[in-house]
Amino acid sequence: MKYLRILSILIFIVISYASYVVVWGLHFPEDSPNIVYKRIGGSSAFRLNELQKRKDIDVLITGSSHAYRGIDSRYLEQKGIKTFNMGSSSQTPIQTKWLLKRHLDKLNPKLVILEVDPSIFRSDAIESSLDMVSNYPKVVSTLPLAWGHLKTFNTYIFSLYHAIFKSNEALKINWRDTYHIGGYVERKLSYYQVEEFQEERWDFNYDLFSELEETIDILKSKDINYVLVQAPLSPAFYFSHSNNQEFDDKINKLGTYYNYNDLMKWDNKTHFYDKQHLNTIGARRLTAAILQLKELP
Amino acid sequence: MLFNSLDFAYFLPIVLLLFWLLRNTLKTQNLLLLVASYVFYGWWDWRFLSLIAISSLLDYSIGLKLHHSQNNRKYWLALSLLVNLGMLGFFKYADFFAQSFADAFTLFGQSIDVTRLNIILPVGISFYTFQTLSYTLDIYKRKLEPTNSLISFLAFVSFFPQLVAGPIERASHLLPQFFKPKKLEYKMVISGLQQMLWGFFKKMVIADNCAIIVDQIFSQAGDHNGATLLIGAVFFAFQIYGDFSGYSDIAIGTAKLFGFNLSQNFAFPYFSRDIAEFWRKWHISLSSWFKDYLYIPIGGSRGTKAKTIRNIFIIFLVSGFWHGANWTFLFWGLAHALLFVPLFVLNRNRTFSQNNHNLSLINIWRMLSTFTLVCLAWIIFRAQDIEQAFAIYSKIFDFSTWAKPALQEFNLKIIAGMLLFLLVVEWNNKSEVNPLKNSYKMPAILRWLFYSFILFCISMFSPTQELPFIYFQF
Repeated sequence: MKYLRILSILIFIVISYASYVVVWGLHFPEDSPNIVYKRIGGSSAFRLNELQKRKDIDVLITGSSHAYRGIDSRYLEQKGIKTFNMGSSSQTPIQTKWLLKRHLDKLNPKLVILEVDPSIFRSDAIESSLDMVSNYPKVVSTLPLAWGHLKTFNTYIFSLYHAIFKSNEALKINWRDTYHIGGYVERKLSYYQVEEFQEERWDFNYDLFSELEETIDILKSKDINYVLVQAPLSPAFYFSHSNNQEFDDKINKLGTYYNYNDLMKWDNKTHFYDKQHLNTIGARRLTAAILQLKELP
Repeated sequence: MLFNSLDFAYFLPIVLLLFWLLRNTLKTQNLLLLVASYVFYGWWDWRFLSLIAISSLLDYSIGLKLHHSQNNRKYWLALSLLVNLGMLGFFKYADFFAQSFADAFTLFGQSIDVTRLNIILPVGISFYTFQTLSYTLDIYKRKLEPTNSLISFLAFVSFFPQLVAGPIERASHLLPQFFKPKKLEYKMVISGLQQMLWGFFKKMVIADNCAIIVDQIFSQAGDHNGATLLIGAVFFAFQIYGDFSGYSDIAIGTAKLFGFNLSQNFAFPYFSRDIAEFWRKWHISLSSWFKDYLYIPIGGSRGTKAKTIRNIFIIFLVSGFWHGANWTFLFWGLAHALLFVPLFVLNRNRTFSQNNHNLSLINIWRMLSTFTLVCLAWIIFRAQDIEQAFAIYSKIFDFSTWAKPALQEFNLKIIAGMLLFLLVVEWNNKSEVNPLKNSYKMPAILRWLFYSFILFCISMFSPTQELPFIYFQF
């Protein structure tokens, strides 16, 4: 009897807690610091919806916005290479691994391009989990990404509510961006106004390197070829960091690695729209270089 | 390991489960608590476990020696004091004294080079040192029999719920509980969970949100006007209260889950009507420690008024200095002594003691004026140095510089709402030891809605990074 009482109390608390989260999140979105439900303005919802439908591709691209804004899947498609760009906002190897576990068999790629970036490897992986929890169509399954952090957990509850009651607003992308089938996001052409950066070091979250190793192990276990690619950052920003070599050394150990910051010359103003992202001119240039990869099927 | 960390969320249920699975074997339970406590402490830096072990082993042996020897008792006590206070002095005050020594020379036009040792302060050393000292001191005074169980004694010194920030338990209160068979009682568990819930609310919602504002204001104190600085002091008052009393609540609540009763450490001090009452309700375990082991031995209030005033100054100064190796803490202690002594001289230091006052105008005035004085004193405590403290005071009291507080970056609406919620809940429970005790008067459904609302506030309004407890640095 006592255990039944405790169980009913626990259930009551779980339900009332979830109700508070939903009611508060709906009525006071500006005053909900620990609900970060981002669907409008980003591109992940489009991409993750498309992901559910794609299968049997040649090249799969994973990584952060550097991947989905830097590698134009349309050019690869034009060359007859079926491509899907599975990148998402600040995607770390944690989310890459999670997505691969769910979709790798169906996508069945011949080559996986793992985009790696030192700025992502200093992340706490929260932003990308929030993106995934808010936008992944099968919300329930994102619980492992939501667990362990208040922001992601509350956002998960909120997202679950929207999924159950289908109360999402119509998806809209940022007015400056265009989402293209295949996952590439094109930013209206603009040019970076270069800033000055003080010399600093990347402060890495070393757990993410282990996550990357585990991700690679999944690919190896399925005999899927992969390359590691670092899309360029603006030279002003990238070369202001003193431990780029440390990052390169770590990644080099994990497989074939192309760091396009070093392999090609980039111009801050011509090829970027901000310190981290290529504009369409830069993206075309990087994609052309990717098309030269000998590993391409 | 921090209470407000995911590590603790996994650690506690595991230890609890094992503890209650072993409920018929007291010795094994104590051994489990000892191991768990050392794991808990070693999570920060396992090297400092040796300090707790040395301190505990020494006092365990000295306790037995003190009990059995008739002659050399003073020497054994001196050894205990020397080693414990020596370790505390070395780790906490060595750099401070070296620097102060060098600064003193510069006053006479001489400059000497002092090599700072940059010693890392072991977390909680001030707390467990006092806890273990109370054991030898009580045995010396024949108030306590020593224990023969080494495991129980080690578990008593390192008991993880209160190891790093108190309450500082007396051996006479906590140690016997390690010899009492434990029974899992529904009421005690619920009471423990209530207290933990409220402690997490105070720490994660009140203290951590106030900390963001306070850090911004105090880190650039020179850029802010008097009104903003005063608001900074008020927020710091709530930050330190939420942080420290929150820790105590979590500690007391956690201990209850294991069947242990810890002492009350805070009795709603911001509802005090004068400074004397404030000191009977703020950090009670430390105040009573100093009272029993310092104030009374040096004469207490037994001598002339002048001697008692001297003793009051001593206890406040030492109490301030206990908080850390900085002149700011010493001056904070001095400020409180100066606020306390007039009450003593006028024989009004025992006017208020019970928390049963109502919201009459006179009580509101008394509480507000006491709170204002406490806030002003907190400025010295929080300031980086004395110069900064005085610069802040001069701005606060120069009303011509006052302007609209510049705090746009923060969601003051939420913080103000949460502070109001804190005050209302605590006011309604001010005569209880458990800060949520009176929630029992609500109908069951409302009560559980109330608990889940607190849980919701914690998860919605706490900053998401794990901020350590302020008192860990002491």
